[in-house]
Amino acid sequence: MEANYEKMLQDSNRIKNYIKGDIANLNESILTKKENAKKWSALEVVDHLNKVYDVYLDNFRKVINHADELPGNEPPQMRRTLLGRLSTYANRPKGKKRRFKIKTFDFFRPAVAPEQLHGIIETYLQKKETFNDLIKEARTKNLKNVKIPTALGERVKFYVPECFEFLLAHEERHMIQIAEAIE
Amino acid sequence: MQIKQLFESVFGQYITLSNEAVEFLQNHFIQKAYAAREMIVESGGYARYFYFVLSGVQAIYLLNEKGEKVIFGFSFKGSPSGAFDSFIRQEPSNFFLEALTSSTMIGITKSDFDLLFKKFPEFYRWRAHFMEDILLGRISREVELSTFSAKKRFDAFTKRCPPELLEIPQKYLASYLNMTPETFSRLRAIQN
Repeated sequence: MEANYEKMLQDSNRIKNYIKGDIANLNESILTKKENAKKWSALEVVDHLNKVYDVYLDNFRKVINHADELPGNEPPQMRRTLLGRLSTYANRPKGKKRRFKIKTFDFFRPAVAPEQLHGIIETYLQKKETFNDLIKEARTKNLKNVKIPTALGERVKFYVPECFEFLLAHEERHMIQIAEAIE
Repeated sequence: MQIKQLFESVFGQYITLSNEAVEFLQNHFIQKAYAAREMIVESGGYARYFYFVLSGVQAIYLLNEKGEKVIFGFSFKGSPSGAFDSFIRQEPSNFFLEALTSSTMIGITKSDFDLLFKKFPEFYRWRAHFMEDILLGRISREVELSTFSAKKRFDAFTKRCPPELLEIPQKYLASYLNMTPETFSRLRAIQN
């Protein structure tokens, strides 16, 4: 099937514009507000997303740089793995509901130090820009059969376009969480 | 196409271009090159420039609810180009602007575009004509889409479109004409 990188880019920009336009300028007291000790603040969610990008951006960069250019006007193709489909489905919220409870890996847990507060959102927006650039670069590459490692385990690999989709579904889920945290 | 020649053909038919105005245009329009398939503006991104095309073909489109591309228009040698919703409002664009072939364009930023009218108010005359042309073009397209048969839409399009546009992938032309690629291909075969 054809990979719809334009849809990914549009979805990614919608998330970026939400953080940039609706979240970045909120007061620190709202950004760090927690409903209870177990729940994350909006800033902790963003910090978690930064940690996720730390793992994935380099992996994307390596495979995209090494992939062949698509000839002429040939549209980019994509494949999906069973686990990739399930992970994307489980992460993608339905309306404003996060459907499945998913435990966070320890290395993705946010750790927001008071002195770092101001840099977290800026860092996220930079990483988001890099993520969008990678989607744009992938549009003209033959990545149909190229897989990249995931954080789900050493042996769990997703095809590149489906990994973009998986991360976007994961981010959409966390946008709902941010909206709940700042309420 | 030479840049000065382009300015003459675009603005010169409506206003007398002073040397100062030409100098301003030459200093504030920046030449940009885009590879084939490169995204110039993306949905949710910002349109930094208002362009005129020196070479190449570009398509402006958005995604429907199914995520399919719906082509709204093309730009090509000598024509204006850009994602005007974002450029005018300085807000994220609803549209994608993509170079379908290797393209060279000249672009002016919004602040310099506004400065042009402030320094040289005679350009408002060009702007009025430009807006009229856009409006009349959109009305004519609305009429074609809502009243013409697929064959009539195809014939009207092939009569008015520049030859380089017929070289781009058929799926883009079919979407622009609101028909399936198969119908477009059939009509093209009949015409040939």
